[in-house]
Amino acid sequence: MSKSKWLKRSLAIGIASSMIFTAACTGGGEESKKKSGSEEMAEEQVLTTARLKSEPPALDPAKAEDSSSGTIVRSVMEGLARVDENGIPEPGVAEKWEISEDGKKITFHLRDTKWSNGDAVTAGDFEYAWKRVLDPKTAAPYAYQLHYLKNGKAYNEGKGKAEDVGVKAVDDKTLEVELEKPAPYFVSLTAFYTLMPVNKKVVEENAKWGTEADSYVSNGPFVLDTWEHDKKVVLKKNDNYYGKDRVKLDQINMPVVPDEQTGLQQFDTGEFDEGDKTIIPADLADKLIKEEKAVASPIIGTYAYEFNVEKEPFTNSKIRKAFSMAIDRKSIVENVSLSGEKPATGWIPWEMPDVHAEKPWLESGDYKPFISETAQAEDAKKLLEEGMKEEGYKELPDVTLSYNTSDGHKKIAEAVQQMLKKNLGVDVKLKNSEWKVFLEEKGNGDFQMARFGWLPDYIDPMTFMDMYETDSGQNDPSFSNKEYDKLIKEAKSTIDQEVRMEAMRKAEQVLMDEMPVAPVYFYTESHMSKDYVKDVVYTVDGQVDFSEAYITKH
Amino acid sequence: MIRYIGKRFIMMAITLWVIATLTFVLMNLIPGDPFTSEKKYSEEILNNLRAEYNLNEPLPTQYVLYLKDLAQFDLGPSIKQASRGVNDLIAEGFPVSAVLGIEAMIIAVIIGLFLGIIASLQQNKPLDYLAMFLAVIGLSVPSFVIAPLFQKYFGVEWELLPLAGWNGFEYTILPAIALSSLPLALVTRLMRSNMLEVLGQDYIRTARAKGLSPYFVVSRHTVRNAILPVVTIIGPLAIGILTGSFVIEKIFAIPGIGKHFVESISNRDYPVIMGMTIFYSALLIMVNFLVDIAYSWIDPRIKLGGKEAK
Repeated sequence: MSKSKWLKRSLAIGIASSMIFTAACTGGGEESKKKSGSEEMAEEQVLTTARLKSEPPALDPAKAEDSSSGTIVRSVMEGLARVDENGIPEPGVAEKWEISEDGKKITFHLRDTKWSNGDAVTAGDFEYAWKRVLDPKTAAPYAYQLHYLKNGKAYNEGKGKAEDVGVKAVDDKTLEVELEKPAPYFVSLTAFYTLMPVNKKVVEENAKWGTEADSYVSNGPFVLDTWEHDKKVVLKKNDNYYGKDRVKLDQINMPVVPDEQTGLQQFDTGEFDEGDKTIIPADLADKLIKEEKAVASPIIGTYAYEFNVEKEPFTNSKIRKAFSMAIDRKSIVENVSLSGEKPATGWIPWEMPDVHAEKPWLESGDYKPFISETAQAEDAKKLLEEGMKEEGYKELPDVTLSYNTSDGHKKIAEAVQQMLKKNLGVDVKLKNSEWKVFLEEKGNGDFQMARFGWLPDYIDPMTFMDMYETDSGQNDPSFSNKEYDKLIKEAKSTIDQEVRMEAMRKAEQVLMDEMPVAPVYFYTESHMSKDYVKDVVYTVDGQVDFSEAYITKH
Repeated sequence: MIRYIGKRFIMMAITLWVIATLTFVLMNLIPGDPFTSEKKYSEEILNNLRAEYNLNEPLPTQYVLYLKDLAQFDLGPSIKQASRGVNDLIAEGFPVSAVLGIEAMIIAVIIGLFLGIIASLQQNKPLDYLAMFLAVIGLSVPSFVIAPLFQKYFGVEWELLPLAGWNGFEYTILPAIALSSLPLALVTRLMRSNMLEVLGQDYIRTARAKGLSPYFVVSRHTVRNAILPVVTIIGPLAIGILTGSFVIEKIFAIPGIGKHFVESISNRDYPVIMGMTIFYSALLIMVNFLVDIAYSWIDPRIKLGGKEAK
């Protein structure tokens, strides 16, 4: 056989066999999918969920600071309180609690609960865990969540002693907490992962207890069964959990899913039962929501633009307000962001509870929208002229709008740029920076108008308000207003919810009149699940609770 | 030879030190640090955090501390992934990336050489056109386009291979093929042109005239001479595959090392930036060294450390 004939023949055989192979496999793919509408619980209670976009960086409650770690810590640990889907605290490890009249002392009464290794969960474990978070040597990033404790901040800053911190185990079942100032939301904060207990004995014996599954000891509905770094986390039902009768899932698989498109295909082929943005590509969110394959639930959070009040032309409040009025929020939500968001009518987002009225902030009786959902071109132009006159401008100084690199931010910034041109006749330049560069510049006040997003630290309007106090470290626009500061101080000095809510409403009015921040929309969190997945709870702070979830026959 | 190798190793150590120093300086020049975040830490908490990673020390002190650890092969902790050290990240991620990379390289080299040789022997005939068509696709279609197509057909439509994940050999097939597309195309084209050049040489004609079998001429005389430039690019290609696998690893959810390399920079995770750079540089230097050794083996005329040989 000549050389070329030999080559031709072998190539022909190769192509033919690969065609046969392909055909055979296509046939195999048409296997029918089982489906039934039965509500009966499936025998195998195993849920595979796509919620880890990357490896959870830290599962030690003192070190956790991101949402993937938070999702796991919340499933494997339980704090003094739990929060329901509306963010209202309900009993957790603490069966009940009493709050003193001045709101500064809270006594928690613990129920009989056990760690996954069989040890009893004691008040001492909480005292130890909280002081450990505050210990400067622990370098806990979210230690400020415990600065409410008497002397907590001082100890964390290396200026006080551990003994003086306002948390004490009176006995195994009683924990006494003393606060620096009344903080009516402190109980709900005990459900936050930084305040979860740790097993004192385990942590003292092994400082690295929280880095691998086999040394991890927890007290929540689930235990950490497997942690293969960068690959997957597996949780199993905790037989030592006091509420184990409530827990129906035997196992939760959480593989790491770095790519949304791949994740979505895996969801479609049935590899995942449930998932969040990890499997919902941003550019498909709108389509999936319309097809009712994905659901966008409201979460407490506001997308906005901040104006630097120390940089011209935004030194003038009328100009700031004119810019805000020229933004068509409805159009952004309906044509650009496209994930079921709501046009922002104020700074405090939807679903934030007004604890006094026992209703969401935007629905309670005295709420009036501060901002129109559509652009107010005529009024905006008039206001801009007034503002320019006040400042003595013949021509408006150049304005640059900064945002950090992301397709989503870019699209919104471009839409806002067009709206400002159309409704206000102003040309705005866009500036895009890498995330950390953006944050550095914004933090240094090196911006005029910049993208901003805020999610709550705890569920109370205060988490959206005290950031604009004059001396707040979070106040990038350098906003300073005496009336505002006074109202925030007033809200912080009382536990009377009526007075607090009223003061914060007035403060929000000041904020929207002065407009250092132009809210654009209120956030949503999208998720998808198969119809046989029941009772997964999505909370208003964007968290997920699997403790009562189950799977029906399918 | 031994003297040459010794010299090379000293040079390698110096190169690594220069790279480490430059990276250290450049990394600290980029705005932002590991703790820059939208929710700002208070001064005091920042202080505690910075203290834990020696970041409160002046830069020269940090540099000396880093080199000290480095001398003991300790690449330090990861700041972003509080529970793991850089050594762990490399020890866990590199074997995965290496398996993928080696598979991709084997596919690229074997099939690439094969296609290149066939194409050259069948110049301007259908097989040549087919090989060149494949090469053009490999060169022009990026792997992040090829990979989802593979997933769609081999994973979803035909259910032949797993879509994503890392649980055994079958999980490596699609990503390795996707990853090999570019180097395969490069090897094919290079091999073809080298072969054509060699085939036109006088000594090939002489060999044929002597009546040697075509198989012997091609295997002994042509391929051996044409392969040398291909060996030259295999080193950089292998490194390119190992460092450039970020996209493929992401699409196929492979727990490799690629993402640490990319993400460490956006996280400003200083120890990981340093560790990854040093690790990859060492790898690149090693591979280049091996390529040099391979030269002298393929072509005896090339003498290592030629000067001493006088």
